Amino acid sequence: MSMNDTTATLSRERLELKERSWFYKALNTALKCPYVLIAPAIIVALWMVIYPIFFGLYASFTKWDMFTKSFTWVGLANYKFLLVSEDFWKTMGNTLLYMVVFVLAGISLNVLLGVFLNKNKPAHNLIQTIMFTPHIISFVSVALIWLWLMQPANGILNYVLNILGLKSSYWYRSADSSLLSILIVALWKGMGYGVLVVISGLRSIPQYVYEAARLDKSSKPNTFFKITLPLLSPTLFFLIVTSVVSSFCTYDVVALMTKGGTDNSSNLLAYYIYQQGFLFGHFGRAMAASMILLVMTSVISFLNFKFAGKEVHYQ
Amino acid sequence: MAIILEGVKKIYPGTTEPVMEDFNLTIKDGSFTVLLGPSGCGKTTALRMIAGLEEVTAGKIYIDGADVTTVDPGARNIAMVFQNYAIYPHMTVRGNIEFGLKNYKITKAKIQERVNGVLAQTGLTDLAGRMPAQLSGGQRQRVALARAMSKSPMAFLMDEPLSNLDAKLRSQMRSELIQLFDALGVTFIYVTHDQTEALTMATDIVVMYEGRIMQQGTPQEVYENPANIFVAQFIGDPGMNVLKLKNEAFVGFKPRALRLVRPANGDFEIAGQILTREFLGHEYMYTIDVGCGRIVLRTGQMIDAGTTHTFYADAADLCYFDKNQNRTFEPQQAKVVQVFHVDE
Ligand SMILES: Nc1ncnc2c1ncn2[C@@H]1O[C@H](COP(=O)(O)OP(=O)(O)OP(=O)(O)O)[C@@H](O)[C@H]1O
Ligand SMILES: [Mg+2]
Repeated sequence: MSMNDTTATLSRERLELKERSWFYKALNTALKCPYVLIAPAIIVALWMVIYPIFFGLYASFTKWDMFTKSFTWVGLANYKFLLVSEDFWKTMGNTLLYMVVFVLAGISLNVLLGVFLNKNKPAHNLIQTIMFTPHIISFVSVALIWLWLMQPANGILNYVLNILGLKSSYWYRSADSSLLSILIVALWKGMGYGVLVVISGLRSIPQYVYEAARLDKSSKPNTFFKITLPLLSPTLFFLIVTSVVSSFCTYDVVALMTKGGTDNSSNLLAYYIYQQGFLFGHFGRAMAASMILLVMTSVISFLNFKFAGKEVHYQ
Repeated sequence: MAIILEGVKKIYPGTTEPVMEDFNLTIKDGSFTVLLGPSGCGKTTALRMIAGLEEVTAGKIYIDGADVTTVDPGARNIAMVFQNYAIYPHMTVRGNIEFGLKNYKITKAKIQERVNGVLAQTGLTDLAGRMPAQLSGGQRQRVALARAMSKSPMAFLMDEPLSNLDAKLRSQMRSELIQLFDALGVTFIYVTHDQTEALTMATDIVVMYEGRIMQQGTPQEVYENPANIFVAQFIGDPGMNVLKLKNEAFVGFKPRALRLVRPANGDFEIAGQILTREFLGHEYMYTIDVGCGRIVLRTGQMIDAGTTHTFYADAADLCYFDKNQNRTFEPQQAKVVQVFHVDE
């Protein structure tokens, strides 16, 4: 018997031994049943996502103070309360307005700045880095900075307005400008991230496409609208979806700057939920409002994927 | 439309070494000029400067007598086919062709007429509504060609347009390009490092090396009469065998010029041992050790590896080069018999 035959026999024996071991058998069975393999992920999802949603749904039909375990079933009372509440509708209006402006203004600014900064020059890279810093600063610090900048009495923003010959504004203190003020701060904080995403999207557009466009006599605006924007659409779609969701869930800037005031003029749904629950102790109502927020976010995301998603050109 | 590069120098931003310097090239009106040379010799750079996609550091470029050195690519009346085709990935085949035409001042009806015309000419009519991602490499290549044709430019610039195609499609496209050239009668400037493409299609070949022009001439001229050792060794499959003579000059001969029997006019003989034999289908290629180096022989004759023979060449088949490696037409040695320079 040659050397090769010996090793072959040995490895065959080892294989048979392996096939008999319980571990090998168990693994073999598991591999035949894919659900066993995805079970851990399903368990985590059930526990961390599905359970809270159903719990919230149940709680929205009850009167609950969160501290006791006594849930008093009240049927649709919480929803009824919300639907007839003027504050709730004002908050809903604010939330939608905030979302539309946040998404449109945010993405337009991101694209404009992204196109401007997308040059590999030291100055542009520096500006880009500076712009990204707000994203990594805590919202508490950001809010403090802007509260100071927007001080109605002697803030720098009003000083600048006066120099430009414009009237001072009460900024976050006035019902007329409080929503605008929190929008400015939120846009400012998100700008660096959005610009970074746009720039990475722009860099993934191959250079030769632009060279072909130059040979095709395409003017700069024509190239921007017919080449850059369509090829940037996957990036823009990503930004739209994430900023729609994040604007619906905006809480921190409201809590830190205006607490929803003046007179609910800057109240947003997420902060309203917090108010109903933690400030007024109506956790049932808070849960009902949360369910409405969940439905709204889902519907808009669905519409996004269905309609905007169609216009996206993946390469 | 004649194209002239005059004293062109190119230094890429961020580098210090010029890619080319004092580069002078005249491309004749209506010629099929092929820029041929090894990788990195500056063919693409030269073509992109003609197209206006790359700025020249110094020097001038003239198209049809007009100085276009600083003119936009779109205004140079040229069309380009890129190596990777550079098709707009988000537009249909039709959209790709229309995009350029829309920037010209022509009516919509005219645009449609032209688009349909080139679609038919390139056999793309049935694919007009497809997106580029749904096309094969060869079809994309046609789209790039159709897009270039639609503008009826005065010159076509092509940068290795066939290099991504398989051998069969490549030879088919070669003959289609020749037909296109004959039909349009405009100037073609074609970049390649494939000498078969150059020899089959060109009316003019420009052999380049390290940013310099080594020779410009018809395919026959560069093939039969290389101006220097570089061209001699670069053109041909494989190129000429070049051996150094005692007086520092060189003698060259093509692999097919060697024979085993002494010809009547046998000026050249050399002894050597066959090292390897490769079967090429219609003939054999041998590598021969001749003591002062290795030479290559191509012949239909079957010779065994390991055997030693004396090889001869006809005087008419010999090319001489001076010690600066340039061609010279005086024989450098009365009889070239085993009088080669051997490096220590
Ligand atoms: N954008 C660039 N920046 C710096 N150097 C470059 C750039 N493009 C090309 N080069 C250099 O210029 C030289 C010529 O390049 P070019 O692309 O013109 O060569 P080529 O003849 O087209 O080669 P190939 O056959 O490989 O395409 C090379 O040495 C290359 O490294
Ligand atoms: Mg090249």
